[in-house]
Amino acid sequence: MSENPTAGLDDTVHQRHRLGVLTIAAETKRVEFSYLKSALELTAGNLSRHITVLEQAGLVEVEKGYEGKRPKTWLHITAAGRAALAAEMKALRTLLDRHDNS
Amino acid sequence: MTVDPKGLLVELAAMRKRARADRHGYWLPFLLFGLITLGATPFYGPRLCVEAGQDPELVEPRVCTWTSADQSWLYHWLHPTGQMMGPVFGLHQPSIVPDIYWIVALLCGYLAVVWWYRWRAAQVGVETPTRAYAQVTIFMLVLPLIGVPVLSELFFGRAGWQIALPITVAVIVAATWRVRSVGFTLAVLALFALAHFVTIYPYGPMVILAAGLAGLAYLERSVVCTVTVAIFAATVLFVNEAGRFFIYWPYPVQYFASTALPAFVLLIGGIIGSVQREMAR
Repeated sequence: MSENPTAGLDDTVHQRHRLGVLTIAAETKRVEFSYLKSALELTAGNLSRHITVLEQAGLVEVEKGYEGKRPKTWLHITAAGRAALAAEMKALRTLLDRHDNS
Repeated sequence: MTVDPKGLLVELAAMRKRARADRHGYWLPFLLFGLITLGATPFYGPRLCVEAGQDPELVEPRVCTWTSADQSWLYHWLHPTGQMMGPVFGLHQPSIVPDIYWIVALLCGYLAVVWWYRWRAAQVGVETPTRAYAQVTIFMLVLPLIGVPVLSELFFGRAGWQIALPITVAVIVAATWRVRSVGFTLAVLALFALAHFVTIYPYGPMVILAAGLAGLAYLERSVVCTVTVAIFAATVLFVNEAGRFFIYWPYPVQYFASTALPAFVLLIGGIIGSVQREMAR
């Protein structure tokens, strides 16, 4: 019997907002904090907590700087982050296929 | 956000699509390089000559000639970005000015594009990765300027292409094979071949442009961008190869059609991209 697809789900990544952060970050070279806040419809505090979890897991890197006088926080996905996102998407699709075929 | 896996996948796909649309910025490079290509038109017009000391009013001017057959080695070094065989449509203008124009314009265009994507990222909040575009453009700018003349003079000219070509290919394959992937090795080989064409094609600098924009299309992942670059590349191939098949422009447009047509393709692509972006807002 093949492995249950839920085994491929990573607790750190398998959270809808964190998955959203990784998906957007994977599509870009880097993404700004306020863009993520707007796209995911999250408060700054909530988004910060999710980003901290991803950063501590080594899935994203955070870069703080200034654009003129305005402080900006940029985030970019790491190679581990891309791999984790790909694994998560694969697990989700496998889960759906199993569900559809059952 | 939704919680069921199917809805979640749909929602993530929508997010990816939105981020991709937000980071698109190809329309400005298209407009810029369209204008640069159009700006090269005067350099490809005919220039008539008279002998030193002759009065142009009294003698019939003739087409200036300084052919690659006379001093091919010198010509090769002085015209790194093409024109070795002269423009396909029109009379040859033996001048290094077009080379300087293209080198400066392409370099400035390249820097402007990198700056543009960084500036846009600061405005929109998402940045397009431009590393592949930068690598391809720099590679295509430097290789015809230095690599091809040096290889031609020091290696191909002395050893003969029958020996030099397989050795060059073997060295490229050995140097790139383990570093990246088969695709990367093939891409480097293709760029080397293109760099060679840059130095022999009359409108060689447009090949540099096409290669750089192909890199940009790969990064942008946009249908309009990809289609525009494909049409532009086909047009560049046509204007460079048409003479070989004895296809000529009608007389009234012969001096500007070969630059205006590729420029027109880029300008149209840029305008469509810009309109599409405005409509998506």
